[in-house]
Amino acid sequence: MITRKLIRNILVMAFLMLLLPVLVNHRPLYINVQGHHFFPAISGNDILKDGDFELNLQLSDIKMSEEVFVIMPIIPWSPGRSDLQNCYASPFDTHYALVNGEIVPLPLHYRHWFGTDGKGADVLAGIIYGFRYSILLALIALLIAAIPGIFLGTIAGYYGDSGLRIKVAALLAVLFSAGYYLCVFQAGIESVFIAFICGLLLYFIVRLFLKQTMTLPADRLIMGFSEVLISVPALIIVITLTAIVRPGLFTVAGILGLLLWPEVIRFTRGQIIQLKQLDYIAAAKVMGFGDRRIIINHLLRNGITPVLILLSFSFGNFILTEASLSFLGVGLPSDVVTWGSLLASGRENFDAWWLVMFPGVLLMMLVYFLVSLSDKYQQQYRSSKKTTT
Amino acid sequence: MLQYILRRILLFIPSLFVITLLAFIINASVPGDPVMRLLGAENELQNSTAVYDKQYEQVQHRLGLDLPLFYISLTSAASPGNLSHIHNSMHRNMIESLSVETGNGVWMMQFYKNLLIYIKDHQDDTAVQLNAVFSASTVDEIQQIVNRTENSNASLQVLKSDWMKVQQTNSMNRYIPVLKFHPYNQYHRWLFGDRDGNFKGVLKGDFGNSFINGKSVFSIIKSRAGWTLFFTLGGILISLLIAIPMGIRSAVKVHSAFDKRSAKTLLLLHSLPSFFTATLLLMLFANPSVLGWLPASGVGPASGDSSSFLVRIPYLILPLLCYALASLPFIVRSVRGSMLEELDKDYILTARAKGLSEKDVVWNHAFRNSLFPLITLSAWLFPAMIGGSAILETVFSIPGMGLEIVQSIFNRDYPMIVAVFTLTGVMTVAGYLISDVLYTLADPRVELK
Repeated sequence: MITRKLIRNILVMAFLMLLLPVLVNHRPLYINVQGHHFFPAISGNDILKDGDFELNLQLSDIKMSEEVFVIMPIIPWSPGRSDLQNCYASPFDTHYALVNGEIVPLPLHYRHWFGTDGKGADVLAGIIYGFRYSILLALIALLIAAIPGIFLGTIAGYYGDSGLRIKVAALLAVLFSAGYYLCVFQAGIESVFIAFICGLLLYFIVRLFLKQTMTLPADRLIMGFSEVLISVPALIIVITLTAIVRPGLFTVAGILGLLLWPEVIRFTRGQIIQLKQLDYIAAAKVMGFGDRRIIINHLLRNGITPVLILLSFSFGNFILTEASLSFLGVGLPSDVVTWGSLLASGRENFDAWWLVMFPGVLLMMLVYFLVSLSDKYQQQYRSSKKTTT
Repeated sequence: MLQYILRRILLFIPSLFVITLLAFIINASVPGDPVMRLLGAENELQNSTAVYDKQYEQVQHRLGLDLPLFYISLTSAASPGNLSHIHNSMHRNMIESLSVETGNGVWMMQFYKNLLIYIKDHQDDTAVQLNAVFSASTVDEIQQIVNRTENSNASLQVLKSDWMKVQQTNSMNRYIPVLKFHPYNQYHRWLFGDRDGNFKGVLKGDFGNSFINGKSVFSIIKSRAGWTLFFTLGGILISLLIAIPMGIRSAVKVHSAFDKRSAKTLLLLHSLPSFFTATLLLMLFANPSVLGWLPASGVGPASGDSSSFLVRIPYLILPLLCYALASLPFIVRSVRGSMLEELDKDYILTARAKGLSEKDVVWNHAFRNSLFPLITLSAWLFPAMIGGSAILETVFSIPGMGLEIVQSIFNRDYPMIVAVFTLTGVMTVAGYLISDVLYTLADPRVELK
C-alpha cells in the first residue's frame, strides 16, 4: 500500500520535473509574429528563425509589445537570468520594467513573487529549479550509496572472516592480470584481451600444481575499508575532493554516496549476521540452496527494511549537505542556481530577507518532512517487529 | 588493560598510513602544473627560453617533483621513463604517444634530447623544419619531416641515426611489463623529508609552503586551529548544558507530552541547516536596520586592542549559539537513549525498592552510568563539528581551519588543502582512539578484546 503510494508520488514528481521548462521559463511558450509561429520554451532557442524571418528574443522586448500574440509560461522567468530593473526587489515592492525606453510598473503576470537577488534574478524560479536539482542529486547519491554498500555489507555479513573460500590459483591470476594491465594499458584496447588471456593461462597452469583454496577475510577487508572512509570528517573529504575533480552534479552525488558506504555496510552486515543464525537459513542450507539464492531470497528480503530506512534518513541529509556545499560555493558549477546558492547570495545584503527566508524555510520543511517520514517508517517497522516476536 | 591500549595504538598506525596515502594521492592528482604556478604568470611569456627551463628545473627539484611518484612503478618496456622534467605538455604528449607506437621509448628520449640540442645550436632552416616534429603525432609524420631536411652537418647525421633506431619498432616491448622499485620517491620525500634538508617531511609537521603567501602551512594552521577548537568545544559544552537536563527529563517521563514535544523540536532543529540559522541570526541581530546589537563578523574588533577577552564577547555570542544548536539534537537523543537503557535495568528497580528518592535514583544511579556511552559519542561528534565549522566559520568570518580550507579551495592553494585534510583525519582517528581508551578506563565492565 505504502509502496504503491510512494511510486505514484515519485511518478507524479518526475512528470512535473519534466514539465518544468514549460512551467518556469523566460522564453514564451508560443509566439505569433506576423504569421510566424514559434515555440521557444520547448525548443530552447533565443534566436528564432522561420525562413528569412529572424527574431532575437534577447534583444527585443517582444513580450511587452501588443502587436504580437504571446503565451508566457506560468512563471515567466528563468533561474539566474537577470532583470536589471529589479535588483534586490522585495516581494512587496512595486516592480518595474523598461519598455521602449520608459520605466513602467511591471505587469502582474511578470511579478517576482519571491523577490529578486542582486542581479535581479527571480527567486521563485531559482527555488523551483533548485528543488529539482537537489532532489536529482540526492536520488543519484542514494543509488551510489545503496547498491555497492548493500552488496559489500552482505558479503561481509554472510561470509564473515572464514566463509569466503577462493582458489589460490584464481587469486594469483586475477592479481597478475590486473597488475599486467596497469603496466601495459597504454598500448591500447588489445592490452585488455592480452591481460585476460594471460590471466586465464596462468590460472590453468597454476591450478595443476596448486589445488588449495584459501579463505579470504572478507569481513575484515570490507570493515577495514569502511573504517578508512570514516576517518576523515565527511564534509572535509567532500570539500577536498571538489578541489581536484571537475565540479558537477554526478561528481558531488558520487562523493556523497561513497561517504555513506560505511553506514550502509555496517547496517547491512549487522542485519545479515543477525538473520543468518536463524533456523530457516539453516533449513535452506540443508535443502541445498546455493549461497546466491539464500542471500537474495532469504536474507536480503527479510533484512533489507532497516537498511532502506537508513537510506530514507540519508535522503534528507543528502539534500542538507548539497545545500551546504552550494552555500559555500564549492562542488557545483557556479551558474547553477540552488537553494544553497540563493541563501549565500542573501549574505551579501542583510536587508534582502527574502533571499534567505524562502529557500531556508522551504529547505527546512523539505528535510523535516523527509526525516519525519523516515521516523514514521522506523516506528512502523519496530512495532511490526514487536508483534511478530 | 595496558596490553589492550597498546594494541589499540598499534592499530592506529595503519589508519594513519592510509590517511597519509589518501592525502598524497590528492596531492599528486592536483590539476595543473604546480611548478608553473610557483614560477608565476610573468615568466610564461618567455616560456621556451633557456633561463625559464633552468628555473623550472630548480623549482621542480626543490619541490621533489622530478622524483618517481611511489615506491613501485608499473610500466611497459616501451616506456620512455620519467618525463616530469619536460614541462611543455605538447612535447610530453608527443614522446608518450610515439613511445607507445614504436615500443622504443628509450631511443625516443635520446632522439628528443638530440633534437633539442640541434635546434638550440643551429638557428638555420633545418631547425625551423625540425620544429614541426613536436606537434607530430605519428611515426610517419616525423619520417616525412626528417626526410625533408637536407643538411650535411654532423649533428643532423647523429639525429638521423637516432631516428633510424627509433624506427626499428619493437612493438613487443609494449606488452612486456616492467616493475621498478624506487626507494627514494615523492611519497617517501613527502613523509620523511628531503635529502637536501630543505623539506622536513609531513611526519615532522612540515607541509611545505602556501602557494598564496609563501608562509609555512603548518604555522598558518597552528595560528588558526585555536579558534576552531574554541568554538567546537565551547559549542559542545553549551549544548551539553542544555541537552543533559532535557534528555534526562525526556527519558524519565518517557512518552509524556514533554518528551513528544522535545522530540518534535529536535527533529525541526535537525532539519534546520546551520548556515540558515546563522544567516537568519545575523540578519536579526547584526543588521543595523533591524537590531544592530551584535557585530556581524570576525572574532574581535578590527582596530584597537583585543587583549582583553571582554571586548570579544559580543563577537562570540552568535557563533557559539549556532555551534551549540548544531550539535543539540544529536546529544539530546543520545542522552535520552542511554538514560532509557539504564532506567530499564534491575539496579534501578532495587534502588527504588530501597526507598531512595526519585532524584537520587535518576541523578546518582542512572545518570552516572548513562555517561559511559556519551564518551563514545564525543568521538563521533568532534569530527562532525569540525566539518560543520567550515560552514559556520565562513558565515561568521572566524579565522579558523574551516574558513582556511574553504578559502584555499577558491585560491587553489593545494599544500594548505592537503595539510588540513591530513590533520583533520589524524585528529579524528586520534579522537576514536582516545574515546575507546577512556571508555575502557572508565567502565571496568567493558570486555577487552
